[in-house]
Amino acid sequence: MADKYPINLWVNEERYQKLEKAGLAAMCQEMLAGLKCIQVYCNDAQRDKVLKVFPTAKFDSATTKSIELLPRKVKDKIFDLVVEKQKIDIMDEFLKQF
Amino acid sequence: MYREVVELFGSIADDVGAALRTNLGLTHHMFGRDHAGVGTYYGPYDAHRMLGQLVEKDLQIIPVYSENWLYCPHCGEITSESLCNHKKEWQKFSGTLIRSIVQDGVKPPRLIFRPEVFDLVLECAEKYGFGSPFVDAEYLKKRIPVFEIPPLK
Repeated sequence: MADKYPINLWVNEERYQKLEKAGLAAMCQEMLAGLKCIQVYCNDAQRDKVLKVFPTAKFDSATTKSIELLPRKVKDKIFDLVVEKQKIDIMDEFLKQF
Repeated sequence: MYREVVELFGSIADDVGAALRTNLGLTHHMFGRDHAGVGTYYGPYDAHRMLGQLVEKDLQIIPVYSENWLYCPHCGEITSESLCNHKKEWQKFSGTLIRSIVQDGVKPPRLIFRPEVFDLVLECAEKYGFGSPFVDAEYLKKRIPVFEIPPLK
């Protein structure tokens, strides 16, 4: 099975309500002492492209194995796309614009 | 040569950190996982090993070594890999992950971040931006001065 690299989209009350409307609230998981998160996954190629297109992003290889430090606006766009498409498999579509 | 330079850099970063804190009058200094690490060159606890040989003898500060910090829902608290054995329940985090939470502006539970501290960190992040957490050439070029210390008389 190919490796998957999550992007953590942290979920506050406002985002949770949007996810509920999109039928995705059940996909939230509690990551840190109750802090909710919905994870969007990248494959190897998508991870490499994300790190190339957004140079501030970092792959946390030591601890969480996730892609972190994407600009807030970028994560907002990813979250909006998740809600719009009502699924988390959206990275191909998201990366098409870059 | 590269190895020597990297080893020197990591060692200096640890030692300078300890020396600065000694001069500030501190008696103890906590060293965590991958302290002053250079990418993935060092093992996560190499700083502990290196400092064990230097600090107590030369720098007059007591090192306190900690392993990876994490949240354990079973214990209901922040703990570390050396203090908790509920491995299947561990919720791990890192400095990078915490910076990511700050960057997203989503307030974490108070067990992870005291709200008044989070608000202050968020305010500073929004005012001064993020950039690199490390003092490198790019940081020095792009930094926004926050305050200045006049020369000592």
